[in-house]
Amino acid sequence: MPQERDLIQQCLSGNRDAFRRLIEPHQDFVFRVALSVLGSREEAEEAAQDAFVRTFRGLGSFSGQVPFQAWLYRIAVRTALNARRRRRRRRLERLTPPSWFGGLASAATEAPDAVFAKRDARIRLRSIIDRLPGKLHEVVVLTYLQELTCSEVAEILNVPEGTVKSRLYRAREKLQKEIERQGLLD
Amino acid sequence: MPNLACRETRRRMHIYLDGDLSPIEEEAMRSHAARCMDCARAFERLRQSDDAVRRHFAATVGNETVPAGFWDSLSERLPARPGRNPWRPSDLADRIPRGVLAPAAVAAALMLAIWGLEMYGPVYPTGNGSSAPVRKELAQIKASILEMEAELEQQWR
Repeated sequence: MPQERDLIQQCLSGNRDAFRRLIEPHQDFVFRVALSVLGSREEAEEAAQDAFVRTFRGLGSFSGQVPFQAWLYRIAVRTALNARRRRRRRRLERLTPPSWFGGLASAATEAPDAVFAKRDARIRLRSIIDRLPGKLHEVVVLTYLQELTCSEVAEILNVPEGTVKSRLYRAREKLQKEIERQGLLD
Repeated sequence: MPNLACRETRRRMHIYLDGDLSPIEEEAMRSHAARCMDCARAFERLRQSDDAVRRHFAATVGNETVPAGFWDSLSERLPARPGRNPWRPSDLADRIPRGVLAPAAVAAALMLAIWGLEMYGPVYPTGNGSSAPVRKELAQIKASILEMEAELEQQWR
């Protein structure tokens, strides 16, 4: 996109406002990627900021061979997964439930048992997704969160489309097996 | 153990979920599943678990937006300028002060030419059969270029 190229050039001269305009259309998605991987808004905000700082620092190396959006999303998903890995290493898994834990719209009208069951199912499903290996996890996040096609995911991750399909296949098999084992299907 | 048709149908189920199954293949998959209860159940289970994951993403993060003040705190963390790529010619040129690059390139080219002449150039015999005067001249030119390069280096710093 010509406008995007202009903004990148302005960023390289140190224009921060240009960077703000460059990332504005993507910041919610980057935040959602981090939130879906990390589960807490605070950690997601920090990871999203880390991703944008890395993007800004790396602008000089951006070749323009892939769309800026694809390059940014790759940084976003890898930064979030690295944050998750660091958190695991530090063994600082939060004991408090993630921020979306209490956000059930129907909570006021449903019986407490049903509300609890839904929350429990949500936490267990999140934990199943969370246990996927990094390469499968990143494909699942991009595919299900943004409804991207396999070729779009391939472009973002800079891998062949067939690799995305085979990772998605393996991820679905693992998810289905675990979801059924835990009786999470309706 | 699923037979060949069942295995092919299970493979097609995933392609269907990828959104890449052709109408003809989809018809073949559905027609097989209509006759094979195992495949019909497998397809239903796979579709349900796929739906569950999709709904999970939509319900937990689907409409989330960055918190208020996101840019302000990000802005504080940004360095003054993005990093440069040291290997990109345009960035390399940016790092060298104006007025130095062209003379430096000329000096480098001359040095290369002299080195080439010394190594492979023709020998001009003098009266006594020696090429010493030519080499002496080349050595003088070389010394003045080295001097020029040293000056440029000082300017650069």
